[in-house]
Amino acid sequence: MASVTLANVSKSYGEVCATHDLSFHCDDGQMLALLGPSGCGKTSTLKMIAGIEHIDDGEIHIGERLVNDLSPGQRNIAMVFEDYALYPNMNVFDNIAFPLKLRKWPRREICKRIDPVIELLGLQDQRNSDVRRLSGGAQQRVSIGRALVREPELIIFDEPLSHLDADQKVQLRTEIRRLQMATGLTGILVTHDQTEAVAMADQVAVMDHGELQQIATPQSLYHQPANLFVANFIGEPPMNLLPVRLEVEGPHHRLVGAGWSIAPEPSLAERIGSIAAGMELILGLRPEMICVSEANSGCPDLQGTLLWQEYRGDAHVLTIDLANHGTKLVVECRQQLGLATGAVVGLKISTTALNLFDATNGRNLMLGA
Amino acid sequence: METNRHHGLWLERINKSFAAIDAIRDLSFDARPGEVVAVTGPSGAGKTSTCRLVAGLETPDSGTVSVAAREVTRLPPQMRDVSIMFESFALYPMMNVADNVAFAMRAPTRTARYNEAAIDRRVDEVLALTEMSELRERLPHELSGGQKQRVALCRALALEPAIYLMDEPISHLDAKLRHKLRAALRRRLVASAVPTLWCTPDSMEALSVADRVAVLIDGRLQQFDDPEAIFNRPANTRVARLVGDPAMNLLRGSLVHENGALLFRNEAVVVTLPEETRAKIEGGKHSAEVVLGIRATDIEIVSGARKDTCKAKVYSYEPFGKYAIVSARLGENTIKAKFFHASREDVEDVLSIRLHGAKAVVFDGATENAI
Repeated sequence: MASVTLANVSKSYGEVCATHDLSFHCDDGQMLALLGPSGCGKTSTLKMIAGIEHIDDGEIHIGERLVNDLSPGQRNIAMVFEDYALYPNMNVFDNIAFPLKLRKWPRREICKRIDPVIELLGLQDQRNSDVRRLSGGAQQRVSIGRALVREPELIIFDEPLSHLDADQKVQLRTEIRRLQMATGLTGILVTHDQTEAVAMADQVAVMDHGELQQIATPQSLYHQPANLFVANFIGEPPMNLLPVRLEVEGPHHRLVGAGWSIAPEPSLAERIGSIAAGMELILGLRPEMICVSEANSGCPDLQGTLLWQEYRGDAHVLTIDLANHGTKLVVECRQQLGLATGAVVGLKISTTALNLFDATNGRNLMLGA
Repeated sequence: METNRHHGLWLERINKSFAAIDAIRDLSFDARPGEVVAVTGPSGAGKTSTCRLVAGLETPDSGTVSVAAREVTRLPPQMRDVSIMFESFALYPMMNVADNVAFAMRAPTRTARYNEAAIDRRVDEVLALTEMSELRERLPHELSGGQKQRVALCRALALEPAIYLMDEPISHLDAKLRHKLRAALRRRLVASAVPTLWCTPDSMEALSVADRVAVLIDGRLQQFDDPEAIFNRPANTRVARLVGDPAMNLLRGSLVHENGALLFRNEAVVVTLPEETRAKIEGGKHSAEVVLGIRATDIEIVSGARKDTCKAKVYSYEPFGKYAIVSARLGENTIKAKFFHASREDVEDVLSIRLHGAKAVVFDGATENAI
């Protein structure tokens, strides 16, 4: 397996810019997800790595090799597609063996290579089954097997779970992750679903309109998003984004919104003061960082009215009218609070992990220079 | 007909076969006026068939359907005053969005109810609800899949029927829009004061949107209950496997009494069960073998092995930001644990874990029903 490096890669289709000055690196043995909404350039990027599309500018290295001018066949990569692309008239074994048969390997050698892969994928019982009879999840595993036997330097997964039922998605997500971690394979995964990206990858490259927004571990993307786009895209329910301005009175700092205000923790206050003075700001609060209680219990930072609530099994998602000013706040609670719609509630905000964004360019001001 | 039961939807002992296949068997449930009842289950469970039977697109082999205090079992769709949203949209290709939405209101049987001004108002209102106002003049071929789905949804919502039938109304929309629409839709449906059937294969969507949930598997009703009961007290292992992200862990083993306490035990783990569970189980008969259902959030990683801990080998680690899911091998089973403050676990690491039995569900090993 090898690493993958993109340096200043740009590509346009006529007038439309697919990717612009894209640079990132995926270590050997890591899974990198390319994540973004449709039209963000992730599929174009994938095609350029695979060699299916030419690059207009920049360089792509797989391991030590510059691959810009190599055809897909010369790049030693394998692909797993969203629609499996299996040979319908062959059984599981023959589908996985096909690339080796093409290279005229003797039967015994083929078995030696394939048997461990079949076992790794849990397909022993379906070895001789017609692939058309298998479930979507099993078919996708056959597709992965076929990619693995080629012992490529890199495996590319193009929306591998999108055609599966919810329960098969969850199962195969875990399987692919386990496989990738156990075999140390280098993988690039393309998906529009942030849950999948976060579950399966070591690093996630978030893209929008052909540009890289941030590349980081799922945890970093979640807790320290680089800008508003990433903050809003990662996390379900999405981060609350509230317009605020900073007011300073001597040593006291307050973040003031529409009809409400809070004082950040002293340790943060000074830092905020130095970087956010005079700017239009947006405060980012994750739904689980807000505690809801009945109106007069504890010492709430803020108040609001409960608009509606959604039961999600492990949690309740409450939508609250903040300070009764029309601003909607989404809060996730792990306990059942027995509140009725229209109830006045108290809100306590954990200010140890604030995200403050520059409203004009979307940048996260808390992430240093 | 009893006069003291509600005037919503009543399905009683419905049976329906298609050729040799029993699509629906002995199905009975109800939906009150203003209530959203979700019908959930895997593909092929009979959700769409149920919708079609209530709509009148199919006639049951036996059993009755009543809507708004009228028995409608043998009536054709146009006499049932239903509004249906199909999963396959069925938009008229030569009409724009606004006209597609208005179409049902302009049907000959309904013109008495809606004049043009009222139609325009209702069209504007439902388009605004689904954030489609700007696409009013577009033709279907100029819309994405998600936009077409919203038009079909608007068309169904624009009417004021005796019952709303929604077959996967938001399945093709992206996660953010689904989240927004679920709440907006639910409020509108509840305010309409007629019942709604909301069919979805996504059990978590069913739990979040419904007042009560009917779980169908292989054409049979497994459980009909409020969302919290379905999630925490599934009636059998089939329901337990369907619900939750991740679904409940199911472990086979047996029950033993030790020092006055009830324990679940198999070759890999021992779980202490609470007093209420002991009392409930002692009241009835059950097989020697049982299945224990434990939620992913009731598993704890402890440092160092102790008397009530067991060893599990990490199979996979999936971090989701605010939580992580660790899959681990525990004897013969693979269990999933959900942690809210997780540090990275590597595959093949061995963990000491404790399973908390306070909210565990015990199922009979032979019948697979909850004891």
